[in-house]
Amino acid sequence: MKGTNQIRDEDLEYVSLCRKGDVDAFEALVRRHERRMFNIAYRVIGNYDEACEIVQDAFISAYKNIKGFKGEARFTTWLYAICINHSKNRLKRLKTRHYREGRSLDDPIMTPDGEIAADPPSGEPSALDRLEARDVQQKVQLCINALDAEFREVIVLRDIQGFSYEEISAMLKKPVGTVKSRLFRAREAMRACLQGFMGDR
Amino acid sequence: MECKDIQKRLSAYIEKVVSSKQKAAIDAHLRQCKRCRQDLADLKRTIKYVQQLKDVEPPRWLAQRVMARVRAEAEEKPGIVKRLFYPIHIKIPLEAIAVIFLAVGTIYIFKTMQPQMQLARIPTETKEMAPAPATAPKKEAPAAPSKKGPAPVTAEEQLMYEKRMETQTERSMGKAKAPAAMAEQERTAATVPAAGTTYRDESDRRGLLAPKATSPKAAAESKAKEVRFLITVKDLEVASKDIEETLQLLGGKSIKTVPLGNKTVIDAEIDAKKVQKLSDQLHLIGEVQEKGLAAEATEGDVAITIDVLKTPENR
Repeated sequence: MKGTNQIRDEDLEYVSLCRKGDVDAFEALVRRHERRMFNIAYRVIGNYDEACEIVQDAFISAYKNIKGFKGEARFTTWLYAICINHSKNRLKRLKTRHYREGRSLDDPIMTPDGEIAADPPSGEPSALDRLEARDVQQKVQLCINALDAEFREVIVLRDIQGFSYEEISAMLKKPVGTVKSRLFRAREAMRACLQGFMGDR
Repeated sequence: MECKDIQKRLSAYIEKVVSSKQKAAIDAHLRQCKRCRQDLADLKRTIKYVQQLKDVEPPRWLAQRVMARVRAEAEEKPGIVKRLFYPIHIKIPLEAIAVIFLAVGTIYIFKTMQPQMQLARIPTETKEMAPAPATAPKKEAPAAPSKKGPAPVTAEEQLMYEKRMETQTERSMGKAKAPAAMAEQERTAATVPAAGTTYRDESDRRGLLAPKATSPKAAAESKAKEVRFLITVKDLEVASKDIEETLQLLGGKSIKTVPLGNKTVIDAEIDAKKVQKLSDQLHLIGEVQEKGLAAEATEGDVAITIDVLKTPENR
């Protein structure tokens, strides 16, 4: 399901039915996109239950505002943008709520310009090579969770969901250049984060 | 370029969004710097790890829950619209029907009431109508006592009487309201105010009684000699004839029948002793109301006035 291989016309057909008040048509759209919506939300928020809430809210808000979708972009672009916005908003709320909890991984990531603090000893196999496959999923998510929202969203949309820069640019309403530079910094931060895990070990 | 600068550009390098000049510089650096090569490898691996993140299965109930909320939302919206506008669809016809019912009901009630209202008016009407025929016996009235003997009528009284007659005639012609009361007043002292007699009738009566009181003798006489019947019958003509015959059989004199459209007034003089019999006979003809039956013990003739009324059709 990676990449944007949704058939545009199919979505639009249902969308126009939705506009006429066809709830079943909306259900078709929900069933078609819930998985991707959920994964976007889940990777951005890093919490299963929160992701469920986000997806519901995002779909409700999409339903309410379906008339606001003008068809300038793909329906998915519009829909996922809603999902991203809901995710970010929830993230903001959670961060304020759990401010005191902090995160041990925040510090290395927060360093300006994503500078790599820890240099792995040269000549030795890379620390990332030692990362066992079963840990990878969890560690990667933890590192994403350590990112700022603006970096999370680009890495989720580009590296996890595989949207094109143009699509991401449309979703986030940011220039492609901004999206790219954010993505690169996010990747650097991810690498540093994962290397940090190895260093901790 | 130093390692720091190289590391900053590694992502762009991987994405191939660096200028050819920068690319060449990075390539050159990487060839001689193992650490930067390692970083590049780590970065590529990181990207790979991220890209390899597996999709997480959303809970099965997610779409259902979404749709439940969407449906609730969809129902709520027309609900608001309905609450605002739906009642009008029902209210307007309801109000229209209510108005029609009111109108029809009013007309119906009016129509059913009308005969009853006429009925209610009858007694008053009777009295109002009475003076016209009443004039007949009136004129004879002075004659009757004179026949019987020396009329104890003083000049003064006579004058008053005539005066009254004049007024009565005038009133009856002008359709005045209570001349009947006056006529009755003169004939019967024992006035029984009929249903529908108005207060004005009463006052008129009193006004007339006052002068009468001056000559109690005459009052007593007229009291004894005047009896009035009100009879309600089905067929005015047939009943009138019956009554005339009855009067004749009872030895009635000066029988006069005055048909007045919806009623007939019959005047006569009969022996006072036969008044009761007449009453009995009249009861056979129709519904009778008697007024001033104080004549039983009286001797001589009694002036009889019989108002024959047609029974209202719906009765």
